[in-house]
Amino acid sequence: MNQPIIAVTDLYKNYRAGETEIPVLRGVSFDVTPGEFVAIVGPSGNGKTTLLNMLTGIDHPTRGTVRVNGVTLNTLNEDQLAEWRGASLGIVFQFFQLLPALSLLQNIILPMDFTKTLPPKQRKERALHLLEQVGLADQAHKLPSAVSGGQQQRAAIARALANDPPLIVADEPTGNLDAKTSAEVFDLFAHLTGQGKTLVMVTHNMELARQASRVLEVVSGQIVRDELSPRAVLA
Amino acid sequence: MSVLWQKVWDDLWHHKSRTLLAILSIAAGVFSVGAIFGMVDQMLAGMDAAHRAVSPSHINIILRNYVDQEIVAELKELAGVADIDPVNQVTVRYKTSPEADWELGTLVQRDYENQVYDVVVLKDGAWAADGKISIERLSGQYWETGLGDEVIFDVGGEEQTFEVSGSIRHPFVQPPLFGGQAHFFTDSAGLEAFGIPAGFYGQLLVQVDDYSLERSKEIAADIRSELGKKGIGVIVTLYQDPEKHWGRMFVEGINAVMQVMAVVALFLSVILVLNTMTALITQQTDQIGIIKSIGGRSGDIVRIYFVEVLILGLLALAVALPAGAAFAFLMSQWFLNLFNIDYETFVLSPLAAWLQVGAALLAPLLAALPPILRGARMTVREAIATYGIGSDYGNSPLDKAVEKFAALFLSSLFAVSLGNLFRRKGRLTLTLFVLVTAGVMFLMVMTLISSVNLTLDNELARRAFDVRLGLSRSQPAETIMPLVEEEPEIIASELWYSRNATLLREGERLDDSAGLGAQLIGIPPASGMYRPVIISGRWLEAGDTGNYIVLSQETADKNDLQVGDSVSLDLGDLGESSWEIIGTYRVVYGGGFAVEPIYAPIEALETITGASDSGTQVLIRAENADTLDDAVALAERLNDRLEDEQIGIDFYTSLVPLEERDYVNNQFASVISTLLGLAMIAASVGAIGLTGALAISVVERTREIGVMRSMGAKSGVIASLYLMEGALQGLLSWLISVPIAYAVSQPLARLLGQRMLELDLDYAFNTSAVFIWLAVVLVFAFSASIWPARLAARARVRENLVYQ
Repeated sequence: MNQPIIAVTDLYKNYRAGETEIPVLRGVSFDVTPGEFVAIVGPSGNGKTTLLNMLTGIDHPTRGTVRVNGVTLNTLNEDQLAEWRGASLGIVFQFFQLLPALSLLQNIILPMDFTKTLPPKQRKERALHLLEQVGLADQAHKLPSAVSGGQQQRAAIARALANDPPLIVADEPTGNLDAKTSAEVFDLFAHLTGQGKTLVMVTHNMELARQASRVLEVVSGQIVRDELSPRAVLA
Repeated sequence: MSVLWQKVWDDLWHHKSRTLLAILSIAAGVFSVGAIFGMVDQMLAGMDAAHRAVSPSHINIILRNYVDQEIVAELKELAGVADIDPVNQVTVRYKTSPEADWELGTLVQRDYENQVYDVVVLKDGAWAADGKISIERLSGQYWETGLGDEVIFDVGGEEQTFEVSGSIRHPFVQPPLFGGQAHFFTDSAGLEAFGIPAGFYGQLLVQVDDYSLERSKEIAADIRSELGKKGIGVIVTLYQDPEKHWGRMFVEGINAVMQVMAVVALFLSVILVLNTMTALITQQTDQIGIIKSIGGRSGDIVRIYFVEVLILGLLALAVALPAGAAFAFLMSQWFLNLFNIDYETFVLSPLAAWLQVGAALLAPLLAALPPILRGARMTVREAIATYGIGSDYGNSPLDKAVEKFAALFLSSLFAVSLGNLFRRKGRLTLTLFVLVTAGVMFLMVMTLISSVNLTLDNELARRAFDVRLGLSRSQPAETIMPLVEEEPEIIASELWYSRNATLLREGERLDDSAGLGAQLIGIPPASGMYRPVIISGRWLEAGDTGNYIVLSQETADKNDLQVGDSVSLDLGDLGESSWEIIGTYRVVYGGGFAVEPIYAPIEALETITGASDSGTQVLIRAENADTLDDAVALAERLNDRLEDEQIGIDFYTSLVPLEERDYVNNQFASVISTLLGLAMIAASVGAIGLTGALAISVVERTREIGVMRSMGAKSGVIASLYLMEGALQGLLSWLISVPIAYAVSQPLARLLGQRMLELDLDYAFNTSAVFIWLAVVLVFAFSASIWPARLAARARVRENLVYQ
């Protein structure tokens, strides 16, 4: 049996607002095996993004452990987390978050510059290849402001793949896109999982969530539903 | 090389306004450092070099009678005398055209080919010869008289015209702007026409072996003693440092203060860099988060922003270094020209240049360090979390108080501006600090001006005379007073007696405080013409007939003298006598070109001289001399009348108080203008900072602006929010700076007056300057707000609401 790529154990997260402690996550536990496509769904403000931030090391639990790709995240400092993220993780944000001053090609090269796993010449070649994969090879030298939202999101996905991480995490990746573009993005995700990538995604879009292999529903900081999706069952 | 450097280029190139603001902020401080330190370096070095180049005499003795070559030769044999260069310098009457009034000037005669000391240099034309004269360069410029022009002299009661053949630089003339007379040059044949035979001299330029001031004073005393034996009196003895220019003390005092102000200007610009970098990091928080989320480490963040600051510093240096060097050279040239010193070759002060490099590169990097480190330490979550609008407004007691005040007293629009003002307290503090500093500097300088004016006015009020005529020889009252009282509107006149004096205690020479030595001045009992500010003891009173003196508090402090102490006065050919100090007075202004008065009852001097009812100074108060022009005209009429009767005038002890006040003012004008200029630089730096802070707040509050627009706020309303916020910052800075300025201005004005102007200032806080500054700071604040207001007004709702 595969070791889980993500192992969350008894996770709690509280935020402080003035004198009050607000619990956001309450005793969340789950595992994700390599190659899974997991959709995290639930009402707004119930802890989905917070849970995702725990998996990426962007936020830290109040109690409990998060192990991703064999690393217990709460034992790393900020610089170690940054280094780990560069090598092990690709993040796709709702608002794309491409650096406005860099072209699409340069945005994809940037994570490779941080990890330095490839020589400089090969970084550019790989970045072009990734852009081709997402259908943006002809937009390589454009700035983010010069392309559409959908194209920016595809570039962001390419950036997330720059260092060939085993795990992709996406927070509302289609939140800012129209239906057609959303479907294109989802097709990309499906293609990635077909290549063996593990994908964990927060989404409001139930239609798209059903295309994942597993759905976790988070309500009031707890997982209330954890089931294989119809698609997974059919597969 | 990482593609991240592309971001550095983009940050600088595609945000030109912000880049320009940052460069200007740094450049303002760097320019100030280069300009001021460059000036200090060049001015002092230039003055001293020019001084040494003329082989300056150590002692300059102005004689009451003339000496011949034989006496000069004897004096050269005295122990300690290295050499003596005898010259002539006489007061003459001249006019530049037949219809002009007679003026007093100085005619110099030297052996131009064989000068030894205080060398004069021919700048244009030819030496005076063959019945022609030369003119001193500064005199020629000031009175617009040059080669080929004619000057009319009063020679023995008759007008004689001389053509100007040359322009000469004399190293030791008082600049006309500071009250110096016109100086002309003639040869020995030319001087004979003025009654001085060839081979006779009225002034001795002396150098001593093994120079020290003490040695010079000893040798001078020996020379006076020898001259006294031959019945030759000395009017005044001047001492010169061979290494240091006589004008140094004027410049040194200014320099120290200007250096401090340049550092303050640099400090202010560094504050702006801190503000700008803080704003930049804040603005790019989400980018920092992204970089960290994709593998960038703290070191990467630090590197990017450090390089950006370094580039800004280099660009600022490229602007400010040449500008500062040029300004330093031009100002040094102007200042040195004031002292009749040529300064033509451009020099870059290495010290100033290195200071500028440090100021441009190190200072901004140090200033940027806190915000850059803060950005680097930021976690991804902190950086990219979005919490909607308004979540950055705190709940501190200050915030609540501001809200309450606004709710009670202000309309909603003003309330928004007031609230916005306090949202970024750190940034507000920094911007206010710069504006408050500028305000305090401005009010300080204006208070210095009003204090200088008050001091001069008060001193003028203490001198109840309009003209004081110094006589080259003692004259009996019965001769001089009728001549004076021929003047129709005379209210009062007095005859005073003065003698050159050396202060001694138990045989030891004491220091005096003025540049031209001390003079014992005998004044009539209960004189109504002058009463100085008494510091200790008392002033002279009716009934004082003994050997009592009142001397300056400065001299008393220098020599540890108190009221009641006894001192000796060496009066040259009148010998030594003992005197009791009954009082000390405050010297208001003195310095290089002044004689220090020691006051005594005139009867005491009559006892010593054996001559009663005579004097060497006539003081006049008249009905028709309330203005400078009238007072000068009165002085000229009196001079003419006395000259007509062959009564010689002594320039060094003649005085028109209103004219002296004018000259003193001129001396200070350049200094005070420089200080005002520095205050304005500080204000400009404050305005730049305010512009930057407001521009960044536009970016930070983009979503808010979008929400307000979606509720119906038009562009004008959005713009007015920022204009109001700018004006409120200006007003707040004014409210803070006024009490601070009031608290510090008295001690600082006194200190500045002493260090820079050698004035013991009476204090007057400049109340009108408070309101002038309010207007200035509001104009600056309003101007600083215009661009950010336009930025805010131009953005569209959709752009604002989807802004990331």
